[in-house]
Amino acid sequence: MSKRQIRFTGVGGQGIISAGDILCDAAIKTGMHSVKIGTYNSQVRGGPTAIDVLCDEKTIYFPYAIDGEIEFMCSVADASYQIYKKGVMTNGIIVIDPNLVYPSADDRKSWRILEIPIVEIAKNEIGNIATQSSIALGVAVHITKCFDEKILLESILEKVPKKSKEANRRAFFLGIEYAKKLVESK
Amino acid sequence: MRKLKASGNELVALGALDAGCEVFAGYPITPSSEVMHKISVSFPAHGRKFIQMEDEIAAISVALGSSMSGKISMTNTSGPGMSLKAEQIGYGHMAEIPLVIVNVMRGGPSTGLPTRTQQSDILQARAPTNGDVRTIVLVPGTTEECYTETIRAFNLAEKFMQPVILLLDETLGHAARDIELPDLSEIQATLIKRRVNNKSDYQPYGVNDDEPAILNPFFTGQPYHITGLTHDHTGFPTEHPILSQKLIDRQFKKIDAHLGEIEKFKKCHLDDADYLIICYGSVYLAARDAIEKLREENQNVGIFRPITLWPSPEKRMSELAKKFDPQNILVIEMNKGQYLREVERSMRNRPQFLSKVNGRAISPLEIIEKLREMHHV
Repeated sequence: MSKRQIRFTGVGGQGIISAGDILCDAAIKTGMHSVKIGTYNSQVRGGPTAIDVLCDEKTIYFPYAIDGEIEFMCSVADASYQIYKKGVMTNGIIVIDPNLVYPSADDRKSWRILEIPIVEIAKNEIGNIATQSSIALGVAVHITKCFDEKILLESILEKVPKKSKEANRRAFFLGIEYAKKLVESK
Repeated sequence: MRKLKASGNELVALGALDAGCEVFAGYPITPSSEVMHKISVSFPAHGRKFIQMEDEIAAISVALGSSMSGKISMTNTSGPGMSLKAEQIGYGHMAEIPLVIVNVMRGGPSTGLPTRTQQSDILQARAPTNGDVRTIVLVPGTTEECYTETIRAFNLAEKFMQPVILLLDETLGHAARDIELPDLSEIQATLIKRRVNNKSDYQPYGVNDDEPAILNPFFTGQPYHITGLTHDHTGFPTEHPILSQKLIDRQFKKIDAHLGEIEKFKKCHLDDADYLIICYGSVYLAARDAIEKLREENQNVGIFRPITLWPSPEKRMSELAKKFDPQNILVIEMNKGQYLREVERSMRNRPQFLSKVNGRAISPLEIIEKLREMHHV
């Protein structure tokens, strides 16, 4: 297996950095080498953020994803989508929240853009907006096939607060369901 | 072996705990805050002292005071905080107080780019205060080294009785990955204890001309004087021309006579290399990826990277200058050439240079492109 490069983007406070952190945990538990590094600006909340997660069987040195080599990106904010989309490889997959991210017609030609209203699902179906990272991780695990579902869920449950474990478990599986439906329909 | 996932900042915090650091005083600043965040939990849990002070100056003052009382001490900051600590760093050098100062570098000057990566404080670390000081500056180049160099920083501080600066850059501070660390017992066996002198004729600065002062912990025995003023063997101020000269000479000689114990560097693929990269800190990670890729194309590029940046390994660099043509040497830094001048001085030639100061990391591809541009490799 060669190096896998995954990116999550959003704005500060959405839990994007945590999602990447959890993905990195799961990759290591699976027995791979993995590194994650977040990029953010000096705004406390609301600034564009991204987190790159790399996994490989070989030692990883440079910790950032290489522009043009990212196979999967998930984005829940337009500001960061516009900045970070260029890192995704041609025909790579970008999962966006269509209520928050607005790709151009050209973007849709360059990448396979899948629309899942992640924030709405977290709010309306789970009733907890903080579970959006777990939905995104569910989507990521189904689409990339890069991680073991069970191990990823374990990693999520280790990181989230005790009182929202159940909500995050449901959110994770809901993310997988939505991804499945979307992939089947395409 | 201990297997864990951690960032460089988290490993500095763990290193401090494992080195037996007893007092941490700091003031939070991006991108170094995770060091303090971790220690705020781990130190109280292990019966050690953690205190958040009102600013960076107060923080280093507490750390110095604790160290004078015999406690292994540390403070932590980023570039702007180093500027504030400048006066007290000088006090640490003059009075010979061991202390580990961590600087997780961001973009500068001034408040610069708080969340971005840069190697902006290389020259500041060499001369962080007024007066003549011989600083010891360690720069880890891998995540693991953020731990091992923290341990070494404490050992060097206690051995040479002066502040030691540990420089990380934001990339190393924040990137988290799976790592392996030596067992704690292995680390504990390497720890250096501070010298004490309980003889009746004890004089804190009455030591040989290549030795560090012996500061018995305050309040434990014979009283003595300590000051930032030029002082004699007793610690009391003096303006005597011979004693004034001797003091600073000794503070230099205690380092210069023991360079072998302080020097540290790593060579990578140098034996068969046609081209040489000199870099340090997280730039090494990009350079390593670049040279592994070039090796697949049978282009042999090696890396020399200092881990002790100051005092610089000038002899090693001058040896390398005999092996490589300056046209085949590339220095890479995330600053405008703060170490380049030292490389030029040591090698007595003008190597090639790749630099970036926009807060973004230099990528492996940029390094490969630069090498191709230099030599059509």
